Amino acid sequence: MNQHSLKLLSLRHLFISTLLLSAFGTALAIETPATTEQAPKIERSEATYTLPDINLIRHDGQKVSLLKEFADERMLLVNFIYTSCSAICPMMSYVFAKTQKKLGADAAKVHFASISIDPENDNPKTLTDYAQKFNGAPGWDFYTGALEASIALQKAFNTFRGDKMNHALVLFIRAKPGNAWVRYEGFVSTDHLIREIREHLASNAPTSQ
Amino acid sequence: MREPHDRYATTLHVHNLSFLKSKSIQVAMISLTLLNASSVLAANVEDIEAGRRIYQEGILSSGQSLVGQRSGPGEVEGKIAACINCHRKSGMGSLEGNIEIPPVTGRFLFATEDRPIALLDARAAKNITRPRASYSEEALAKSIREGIKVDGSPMDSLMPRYALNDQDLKALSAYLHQLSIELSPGVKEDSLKIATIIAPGVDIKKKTVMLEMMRAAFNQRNASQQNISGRMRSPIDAIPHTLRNWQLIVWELQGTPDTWEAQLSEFNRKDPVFAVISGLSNDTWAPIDQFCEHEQLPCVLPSTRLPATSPGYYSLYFSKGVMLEAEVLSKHFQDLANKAPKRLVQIYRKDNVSQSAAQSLTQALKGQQITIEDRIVADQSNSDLTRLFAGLKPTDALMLWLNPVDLITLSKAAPKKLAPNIYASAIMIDGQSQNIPELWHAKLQLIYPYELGQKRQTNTNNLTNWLKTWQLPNLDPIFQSEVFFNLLLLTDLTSQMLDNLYRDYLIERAEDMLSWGANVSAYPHLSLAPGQRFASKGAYIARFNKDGTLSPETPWLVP
Repeated sequence: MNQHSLKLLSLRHLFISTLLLSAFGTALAIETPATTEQAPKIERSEATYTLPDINLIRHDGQKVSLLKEFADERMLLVNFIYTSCSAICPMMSYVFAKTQKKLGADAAKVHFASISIDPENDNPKTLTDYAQKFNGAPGWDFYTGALEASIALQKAFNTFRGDKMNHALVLFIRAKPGNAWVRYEGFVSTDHLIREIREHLASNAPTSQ
Repeated sequence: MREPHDRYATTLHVHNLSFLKSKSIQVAMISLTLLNASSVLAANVEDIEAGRRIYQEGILSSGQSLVGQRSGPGEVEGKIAACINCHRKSGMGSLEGNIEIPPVTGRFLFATEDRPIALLDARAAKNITRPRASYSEEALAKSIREGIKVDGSPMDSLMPRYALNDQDLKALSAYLHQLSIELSPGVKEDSLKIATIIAPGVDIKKKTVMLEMMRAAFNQRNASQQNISGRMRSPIDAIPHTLRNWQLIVWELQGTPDTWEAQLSEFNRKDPVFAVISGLSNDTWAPIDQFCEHEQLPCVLPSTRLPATSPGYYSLYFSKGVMLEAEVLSKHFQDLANKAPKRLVQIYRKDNVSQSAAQSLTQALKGQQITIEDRIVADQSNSDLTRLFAGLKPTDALMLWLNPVDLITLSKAAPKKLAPNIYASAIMIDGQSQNIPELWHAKLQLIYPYELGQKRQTNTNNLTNWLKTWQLPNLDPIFQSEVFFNLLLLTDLTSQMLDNLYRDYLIERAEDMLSWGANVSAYPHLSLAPGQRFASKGAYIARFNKDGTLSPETPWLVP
């Protein structure tokens, strides 16, 4: 018997037990891994990514080169969003907005970049409307473009998961051109993000933990 | 007992899917919850409406905005804080990335029956939620205000805490108590009624092949659903009421479009269906869209040249039809910059589709320095035909919103040396290049909202093989690929919805999973999301090769 049918059997077994238990009204105690605290789990790592030489469309309608957009000396924060995303993306965008605001004068030293993973739906107008919804200030740019370009970029950052509903909750920080990227998986709070940004700004180099 | 949840992340082959394509899916979230009986509180209509406004719009009964607090991202307010954003209209929740948003339906929270709720999402293996007591009013208050579940554990930090006052809490509770509490109309103990709609004036051959395809798929599916032996063939069988037979109901319309809505309402009143899939019309789909909205009935991906301009919640379309073609041509002219034409002459007939197409193009070209002239095909006399082609200059562009018959007539009358760039609608020739007379081949460019070449062939191979198996003709490959896509989608949707047969949930799952399955359609890429109603969003400008096939002249243009 191959592995596949074994797996199938064990799953059937689970279902049958479930039904039996249900029939006797016994509580079925299958639990998810313990959630002992409320704080969201985040993972921080550092990595080097080779970004593709692609063109994108900025929310102001300008056709731009990704590499050029990412070439200036500012610290770079990158996330991936789409404007019809109702649950996760608004929260990520909310954190960007709030971080930008809370940074005050330091905000000018940071380039926020949100890349659409639904580029056929997100045109400059939808992106501009979206930016306004979050009161995004100059220094926060939204990008769309050809579907292939968006996928190439997601793959370069190792965030492509096949379809947009499968998108990863992930955020990237680069202190300055040439530096490694800090990759955050999970939900990073505004305060946490600001701490990280200020550390980078202070040392002008990525910190390591 | 504590188990690593990966153990249940088991790949399984689901037998009832294999009739059209073989597919491995992963059981993702299966939550089996033992439900304690709890009495549904009698709630008055006002409370439910106030609750709906909190849930859907984020507006409190005081008229103020709903405010939610999250430990991480902080405060959310108003529409963005409304429950519907994550838990969706049906209350069935969703799965976004690795974030599981649990259901909050009446049945899930306050179940009064001893029946498990099972959820399935094919995108990823997730966890199995634990059984728990049903929510009392106090427990609900504690969860919403403090983020503490009925079992005393904390909720995920992504769920905001809402400081609702007693009145708002009562209203929200009343709303949740009735949310998705009953299966939708068209769902019977052992059957699921699905309709399709056929408008008058359609090609009888197309209508016939569509119905033959649907009946074949329904028969095939039902044959593999019958569980005579009583043996379980798939874990999904363990969940009661997931073996419903599909029943196809054909709604054939008569008369003019303004009478369709009433006809459809009458059909649905006499014999309600769960959803409408596919459908065929050469004319406007707008009245049918309105009907679907009034009846809150999902109308999934009809084959129409002219969908509603602003679709309702319940209608999903492959594309914007000829309106998309108009927008793509406008985008093409924009890209041509100083090579764009100085004047555009549109030739069309005075029917709903062609007129709307021409109007859309006029609208789309606003802001570009292009003069537009409309020329309507009249009696097709010699003088009429001469008039249509009179005075055209090399700096003009000619747009033909014409069906194949008119294209043939016009090709004979067109001047041998027609100067301008000529464009034609691919949708109006059913996307079939052989419908364009050869005389036009050298000069014509098609606005082509479908895939081309090898990719197209690969995507539609499944259809070709399936038609062969059923000894059905492939008369109209694009149209038939649309029907086929729907049949697969319905299979996937109903398989994953299990017994949660709510119309709103069907729309939500279609929004989430349209791009997930294999693309067996003639479109390069189909994708929806909450609020999106047109699945394919672009087109090529294509030219004829010497052998009569088409090659893209431009990249895929998305207006």
